Amino acid sequence: MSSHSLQSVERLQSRIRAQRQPQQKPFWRRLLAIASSSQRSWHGGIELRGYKELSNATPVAPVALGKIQLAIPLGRGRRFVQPCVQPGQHVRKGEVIGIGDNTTAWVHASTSGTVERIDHVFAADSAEPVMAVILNADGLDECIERPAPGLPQTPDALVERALQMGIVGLGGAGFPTALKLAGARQPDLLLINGAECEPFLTCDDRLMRENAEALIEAADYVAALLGITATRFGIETNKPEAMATLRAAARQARTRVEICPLPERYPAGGQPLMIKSLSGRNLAPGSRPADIGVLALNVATLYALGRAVFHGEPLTSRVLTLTGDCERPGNVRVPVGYPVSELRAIAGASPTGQLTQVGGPMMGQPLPDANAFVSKTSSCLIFGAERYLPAARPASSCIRCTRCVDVCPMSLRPLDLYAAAERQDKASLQELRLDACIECGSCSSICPSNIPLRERFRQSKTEVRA
Amino acid sequence: MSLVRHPIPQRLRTVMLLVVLCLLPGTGLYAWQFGVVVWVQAFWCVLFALGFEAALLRLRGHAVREGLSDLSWLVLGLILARALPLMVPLWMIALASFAALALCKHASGGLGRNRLNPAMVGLGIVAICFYQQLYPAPSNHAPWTAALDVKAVLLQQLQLVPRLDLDAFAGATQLAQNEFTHVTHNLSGFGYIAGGLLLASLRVIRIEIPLAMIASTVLLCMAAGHSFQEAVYNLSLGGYLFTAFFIATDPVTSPDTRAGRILFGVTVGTLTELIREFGLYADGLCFAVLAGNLLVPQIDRLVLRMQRPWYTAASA
Repeated sequence: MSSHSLQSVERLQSRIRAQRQPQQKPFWRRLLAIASSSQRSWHGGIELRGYKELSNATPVAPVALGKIQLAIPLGRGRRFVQPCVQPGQHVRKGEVIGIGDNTTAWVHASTSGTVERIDHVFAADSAEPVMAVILNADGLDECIERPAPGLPQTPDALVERALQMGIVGLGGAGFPTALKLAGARQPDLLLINGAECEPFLTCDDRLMRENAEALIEAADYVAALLGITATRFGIETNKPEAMATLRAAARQARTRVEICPLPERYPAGGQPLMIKSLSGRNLAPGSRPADIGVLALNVATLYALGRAVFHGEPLTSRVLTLTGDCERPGNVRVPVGYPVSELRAIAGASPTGQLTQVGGPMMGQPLPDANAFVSKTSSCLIFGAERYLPAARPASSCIRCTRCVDVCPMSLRPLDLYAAAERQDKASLQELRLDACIECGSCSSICPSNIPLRERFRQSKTEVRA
Repeated sequence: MSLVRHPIPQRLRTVMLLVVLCLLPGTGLYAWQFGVVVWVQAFWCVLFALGFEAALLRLRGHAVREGLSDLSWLVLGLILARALPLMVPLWMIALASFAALALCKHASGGLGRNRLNPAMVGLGIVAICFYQQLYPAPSNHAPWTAALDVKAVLLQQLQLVPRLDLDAFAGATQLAQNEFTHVTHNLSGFGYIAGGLLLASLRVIRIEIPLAMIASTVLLCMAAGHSFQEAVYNLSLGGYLFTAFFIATDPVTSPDTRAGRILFGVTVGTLTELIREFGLYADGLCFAVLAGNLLVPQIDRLVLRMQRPWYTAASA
């Protein structure tokens, strides 16, 4: 035992003690706490039609890799890696094609083939073209031979492994997992987000049902390495099979991983709400889970981390839901960079003339371009989405019906925020806590006047920051 | 198709039509007791509301057809008709409609931007300016207008015949004929309660406002030394139930949060009872609601300061 780890254990114990000590609250506030149903509950949210049954019945299928062209995005948002391959170079699956600095996850070839060029293309979930390596697959899908890597023995080694294996948050944010692990130096709680509260999506559901043992193993490993005392999986109650499978796997592995139900209410998987439901801790706006001793990972991210740690396998594929108006809905394990047009053929959706939604109907966006490519963060393709999504109607005046106040999971007043945003009143926006908005879109979807509240708040946030 | 599993009335026009529908039972009962004058007055009010709304939209350079399609003028007309005392002359109806639409709604910037309830502004202006004409208002004890037919009503409203002596009908005649034993209950109240509960279950209005209002009035009435029966009877007088369920609940002019709405209801209920007990006006609802409306921004800010969202508290 080094003195460093002893110190950390002491710090951990003192933190646990501090948490056990109840804080003195005013009398009326304690009364309110008794009156409210539970410490772990949050108010608001909306009940959405699930449409999960469209795609959750069949196992995850691999996709065929013929001689097609892939485009592997070299990053997302402002984090991009430097390509380290030349046009004409032959690469094999798993070979590093982009190396980043300490804050950017590396990028790997997702199949074998020849690099055609490096160009800007549309990723399925990006509004603007991103830099990508265009790869002509040879259809052989040859893997690179790599020496069997040992298990990372220290948190630093795990961080390095996650960075070099290209692990990013697969829930949609695409934040490098290595940074998350590095930022969470002394967490005491590992929360695995398997809520999947968006309608249509079933990729996490299928992943949990089919890879329960691997998930439990990975969670146990991460917890043990980082000195985490409690691990909880949060799963929405509309996924009883996933919950049962994980429970059985946890029992078999004799671990203390807890499988906890989350309310079947959108957005139960939103980070502050998931943390509230699973731990009762409050994630203040602007702070990170690490600040309150929590490490939160999405199930798909945890699975990819497990593959990287135990098998030395980089993140080159992900589970993607094909659903909506198509002949063969279901989940597929698709290499990163796979063209959406091929997926359309696999799903048996009509080739053109339809709106395709990428991601869920609430947080996702329409497919930017018919020739877009799958990125690490594309989770779902809804074909013929106009049949399921509410039709766009022109916005009318706010009648202050306050339904947005009812549904806001962060207890905000969207109608007042909107009025303040229209006035460009920064002081009011701050007082009304614009920074707490998680942009879940509950308010927009419930508004009888069809006011684009979420879009306005997104815009205001950038204006306030500027 | 809506993604929300249990969609509550979604569109503005649906919401407005529901309010109209839920107003009908109360208005129907009222017309049954008080005669055809109720419908004639409603007709005039809706007509004026439509005319002023269209003219003002045009004047402000908005698309008239689109602006009228939300049907808010229909709701305003029906509510104003019920808020004004019966048998007011036509020019007074026109003035009240003008005040409601031009001075209150459109002068504040249109639908959803007014701080005061338009119907109450219309009624308030008429009540302040023409106190002599309006009061004493006809009481519930004698639905004396029931005997009037459309022609008589119109002659009265257009003031083509000498004005009926309200007092003679409302009080003295009954006293003379010893009719006080046949007290007619204000049946329309039940209609308003039914309509209001339906609207509350559809989340068009919020039930906490009428509940807080009724509770505060009853408690204050009892504190003033009346019996419980008297306090409850007090609710059936004038337009109390109508106001509680259809006017104070106007979402535009009531607070944003539940705690705020309860405070608002208590304010309106308390003021109503104070005016009824000590004030100049017999009913007082109009001024109580207007005072409550004026306090809404303050109530909202107070609640914002008092109720911290859950995530601002330190972890327990």
